[in-house]
Amino acid sequence: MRTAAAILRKDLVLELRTLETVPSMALLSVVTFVIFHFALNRNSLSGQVAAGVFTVTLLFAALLAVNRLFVAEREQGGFDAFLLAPVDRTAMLVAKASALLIFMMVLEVIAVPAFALLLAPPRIGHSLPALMLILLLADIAFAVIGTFVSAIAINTRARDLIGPMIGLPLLLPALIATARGIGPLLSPHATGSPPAKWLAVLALYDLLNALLAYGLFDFLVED
Amino acid sequence: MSTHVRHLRGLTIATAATMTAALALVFFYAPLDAEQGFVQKIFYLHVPLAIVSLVGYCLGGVFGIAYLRTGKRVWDMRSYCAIHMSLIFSVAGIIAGSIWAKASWGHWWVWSEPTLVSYLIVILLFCTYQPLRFSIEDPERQARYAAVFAVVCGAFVPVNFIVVRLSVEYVHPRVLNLEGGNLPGSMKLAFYTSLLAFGLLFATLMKYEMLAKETRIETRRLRRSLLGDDAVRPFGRTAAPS
Amino acid sequence: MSALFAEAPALPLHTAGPYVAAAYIVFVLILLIYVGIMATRLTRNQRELAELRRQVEEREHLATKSDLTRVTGRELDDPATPFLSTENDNEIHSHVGVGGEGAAVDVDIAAAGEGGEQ
Repeated sequence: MRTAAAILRKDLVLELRTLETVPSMALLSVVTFVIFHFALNRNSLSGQVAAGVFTVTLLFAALLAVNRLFVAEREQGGFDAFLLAPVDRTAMLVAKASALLIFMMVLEVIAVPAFALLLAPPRIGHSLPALMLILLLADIAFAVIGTFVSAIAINTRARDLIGPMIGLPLLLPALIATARGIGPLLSPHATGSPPAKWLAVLALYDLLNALLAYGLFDFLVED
Repeated sequence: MSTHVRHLRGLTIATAATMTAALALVFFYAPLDAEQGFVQKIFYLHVPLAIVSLVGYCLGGVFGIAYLRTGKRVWDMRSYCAIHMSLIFSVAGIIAGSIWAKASWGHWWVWSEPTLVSYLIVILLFCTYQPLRFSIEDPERQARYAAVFAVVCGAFVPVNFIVVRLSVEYVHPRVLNLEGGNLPGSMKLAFYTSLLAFGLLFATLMKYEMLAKETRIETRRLRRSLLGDDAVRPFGRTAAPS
Repeated sequence: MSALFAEAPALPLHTAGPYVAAAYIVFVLILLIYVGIMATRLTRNQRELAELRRQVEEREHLATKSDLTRVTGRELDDPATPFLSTENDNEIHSHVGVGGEGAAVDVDIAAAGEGGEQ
């Protein structure tokens, strides 16, 4: 646990000092909203379309972060140092997944208001608590699967290509659940209560992937 | 013969016999469906292909676990061959499913059929298996990463199926729904024979592929030892286990 | 299932029938072609392999006669060797009767990282 906290602190301090990943993710999200406005030729979206646009934008931003997750470790020998230290290997998984989770949450602080402003879905203020809950579960899915896929991809030759290629199908159930969960929240007659079915699906999917990643991560970082 | 690939001759004969029997049953014994007629026969091609390929993917995951636990390369070979064969079978299966969609709905692809949709997602996922192997040069690391991938994706297959099924609204009646209880006896016989035939076919083709690879490996090894390094052409990067 | 189909819209059956027949025929054809190619390739490779094994065996007999020291083949027990598992390797040796194949094995293959056939 302490190891994971140390690595997490290192990543957060690094991000705060260099401000590379999160601002790019935020910028990408806003630009994507603008693109969707032109692509769909609509001033305001509602219901399932709004949910779909938001989920896909979140996915693009997550892919940015996933590609950069282990780059520093790889290029500056962090992996070797970590393997030499007498610590539990899965601490790196926990640390990196937590870092990615925090990045996604900070991104959403910027992206949700931008979405409300640019694409004006109805009832978004009313549904905000439910929206936050679904987004939290979705972020956990992005974090776990993103870290796992990034760990696979960092040691291959086609680093930036393999990550999204493997990660997108693996993320599909989570994306389905997120989009379907948010859809009813953004429709004009939303009650503000999240659909329980998709919350359960997201939570179970997160749990399954967390267990799998935890069990298999050792094999990915050993030399 | 190789020690890892056993009973190949018997298996081949059994497969040929069962496949012939299945085809005969499908075309001469099973009755024409009352509503769909001859077109329903694609069902005996698509569903066994789908079932066998999905089981094959899960088998690939199981072999991956065996490799990670024991470190023996033979399990990596088995995992690779299982996933490779399953990929071929599932591409054939989705083409057959598309034909059925065309016959039933007039469109080559329908989103309202969750089995087809989740099948597509699984194919897209396993298409990345060989590019992944191809991009790792160190053979031991390649085998390890491929095994981890196989395990995760093998677990993914049933989960994905469930989630996609939940996401489809049942506005249209499900065409590919296999209600075993409603199939008349003769159709059941044809179907299960077909399923058995495809299962045996999968096992046979997988063993053939394993045998071909092992023969190749040992040939190269012996050539190198007998004739020196120059007699063996380097393969370059490949996705298959060496 | 008939009840399900009763609700289905009118189906263009006459247009799809040929596709079903074509699917089966194509499937059987591809299967036969694949098996044919596999069989010819395998028999060719197996013959070459038998020939190579015979040559190795000859060389082993010569080596025994001239009393050269032989490596016992324990290199194969190294789990880092990227080949078939070690215990089964001994079985292969006993099948073919190639005793100290260790003499012929080049452990450098393990380090060279060559790829297998696609």
